[in-house]
Amino acid sequence: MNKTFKTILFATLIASMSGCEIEPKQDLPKRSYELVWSDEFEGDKGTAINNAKWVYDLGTGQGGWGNNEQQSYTNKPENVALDGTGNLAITAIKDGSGKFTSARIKTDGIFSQQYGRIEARIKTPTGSGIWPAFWMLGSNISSVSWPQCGEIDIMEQNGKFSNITYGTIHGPGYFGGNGNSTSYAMQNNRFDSDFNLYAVEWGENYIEFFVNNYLYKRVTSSDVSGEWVFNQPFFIILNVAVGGNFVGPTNPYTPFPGIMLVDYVKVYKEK
Amino acid sequence: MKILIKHSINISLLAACLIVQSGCERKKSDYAVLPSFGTTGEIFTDNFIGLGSNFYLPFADAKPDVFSVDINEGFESNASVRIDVPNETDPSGSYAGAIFRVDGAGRNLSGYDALTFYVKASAGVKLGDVGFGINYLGDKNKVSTQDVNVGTNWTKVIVPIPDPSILTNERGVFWFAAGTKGTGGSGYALWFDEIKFEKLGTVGNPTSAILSGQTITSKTFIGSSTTLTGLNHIYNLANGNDIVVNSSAAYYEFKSSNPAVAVVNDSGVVKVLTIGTSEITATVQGVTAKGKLIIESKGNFPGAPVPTKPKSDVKSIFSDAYTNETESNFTPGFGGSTTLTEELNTSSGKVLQYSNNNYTGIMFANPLDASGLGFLHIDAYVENAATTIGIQIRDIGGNKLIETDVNTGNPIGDDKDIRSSLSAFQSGVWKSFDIPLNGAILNQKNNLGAIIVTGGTLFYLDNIYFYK
Repeated sequence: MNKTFKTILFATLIASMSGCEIEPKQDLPKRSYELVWSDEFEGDKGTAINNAKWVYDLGTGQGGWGNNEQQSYTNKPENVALDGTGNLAITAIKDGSGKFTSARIKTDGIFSQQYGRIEARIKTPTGSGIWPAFWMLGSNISSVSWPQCGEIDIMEQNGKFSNITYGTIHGPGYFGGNGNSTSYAMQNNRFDSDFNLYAVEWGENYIEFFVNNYLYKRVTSSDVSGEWVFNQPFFIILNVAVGGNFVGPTNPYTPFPGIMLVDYVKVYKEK
Repeated sequence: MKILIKHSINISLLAACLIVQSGCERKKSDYAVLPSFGTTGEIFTDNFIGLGSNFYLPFADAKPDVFSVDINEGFESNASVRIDVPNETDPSGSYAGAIFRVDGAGRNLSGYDALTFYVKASAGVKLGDVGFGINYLGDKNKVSTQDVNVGTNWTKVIVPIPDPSILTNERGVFWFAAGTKGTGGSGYALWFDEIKFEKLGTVGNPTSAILSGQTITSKTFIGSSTTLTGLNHIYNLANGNDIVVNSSAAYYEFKSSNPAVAVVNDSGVVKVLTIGTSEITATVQGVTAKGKLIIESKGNFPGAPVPTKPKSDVKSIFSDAYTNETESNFTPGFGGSTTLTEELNTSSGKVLQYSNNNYTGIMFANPLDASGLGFLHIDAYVENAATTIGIQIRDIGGNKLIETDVNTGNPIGDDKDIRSSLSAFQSGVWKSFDIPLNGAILNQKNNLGAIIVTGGTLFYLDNIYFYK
């Protein structure tokens, strides 16, 4: 009698303790991946990006890259280079005359991928008007143009709100402000305080979005209001924009330089 | 014995059930048995937490009886701190302001990163000042944010701590000052709730400044002294807002690039020791603050003309040549005054340095009878020849109280004054002024109580005395 009781008591205690966990462990589908492409950004400080893996987007684009962004992209080491401690540094700079420079690199024409897991470990900059992103565009953009090519924003942040990250897809009929977007907010922390792992797991007719391996968004072909344009290869982009429609202007308190550190980008295919 | 065991089992079973039911709310029972408030962050939640009995201490010039606990209002509760801000014309005080000081040992707040609270008001207002670190014991760790927008709905306010590591023993856990500048003089009610220190983890992008981020060059002299002002910090909060926090010097580490020329102490007071140049800079938590003071010391201060009047004809306020007729308070700290007054020890004696002056006063400890005297003498020195300094000589009348219309600054009651200007300077040369004691005080100068000093911003005064 006594012994039985003790067991029950022990069980109830365990039950009551587990009830207090903040985030229950997610029951995720088991997928088996193999690495097919990566950049660990190892090298001496100031080294340029590996031109066998990346190309630059330069200048101010059309209409501020379609978003009224305020920066001009360069390939100068002060805007984009290895930091010497195993990271890529993309740095938004405000010069003496108040103009902004930054950098945007992409695998367009070199590497693209259809489906799999695409991840990057990134420490993002914050501040009003700072817009860091890790994202993908459909490789057919030059023939069908945007938004028909599709866009997958694995990580996109409005630096004004330092504890929120967005995962978004844009396609025909659902783009710009009407993209299919979900935010993930950190409790008691900021995205600029440390590196965080941003990832999508992507297959036929679905894309799942993760922060630090926590699944916060799953979108399928039946969730979008227009054509599903994601069953085709995409290339990868990393950039830090300044100003523009999504984040609004900088203010006198925006910290410059705004540095995005990327520890690695890895692309996996399902075995 | 058996009965006892059975009994204890029943109690245990009951306890187990309670644990299961309360689930995540177990913290409440932990909370109830906290042994001390050493690191407690809460100040007022549903009631005051560990502040002791005598914790509400209003500012000396504020209306004292404005504070109550309102049991009908609260943020998601039925209790809040209510402050009834008086009308500007309230005879017992024109504003509400007080500190909450732990009546007992100080708290260790070094594990938190912000003071937070919810606030609302009976009308949309700007809350003048709110923060922590005033304890009437030196106010060493004073921090506040100013002009906080308060509406008629509860809003959470976050006041980040510039460097929590210095708050290891702080009794001044909350303070506020609320007036009616923005309401045309009409009083209103303020409610505070959930006042506590928190570890938010979302306070970021700290940018600290001295001299409000400006680089200021000070052409100065041996013996001169200045206190660094404009000590503020800007943070980005999770709600997207950037907040400016003002603090005392305690959160800064100051540095002089050339300590032989100028030194700076922990309170941000810079003293010039010899001829030469030095840059005064600061860091907060190891990060360089914006702004610096460049000291360009030109050497010895030129002495003011040595007075020649015989001692018997003089009643002196400030001069090395004469004994003071009365002691004076040179730093009265008038509300709204931005003036810094320092008594310098120069190679040629003591000199009063006024910087950033808008208005201040020289308040006589005892009324001075100038009945037989005809003039006030003042020597003044400026670098900027265009400087104009206002001087008001005040007789405080038979009641020996300074009575001033707060709106106009004019004397009221039995007070009288005369006003004149010191001007037409040459840069870098002392000029002597002799102001006749005539006009409104010609026949009432037996209770002179103060000299009010206005404008001019940066100047030096010496040899202030009345004479025949």
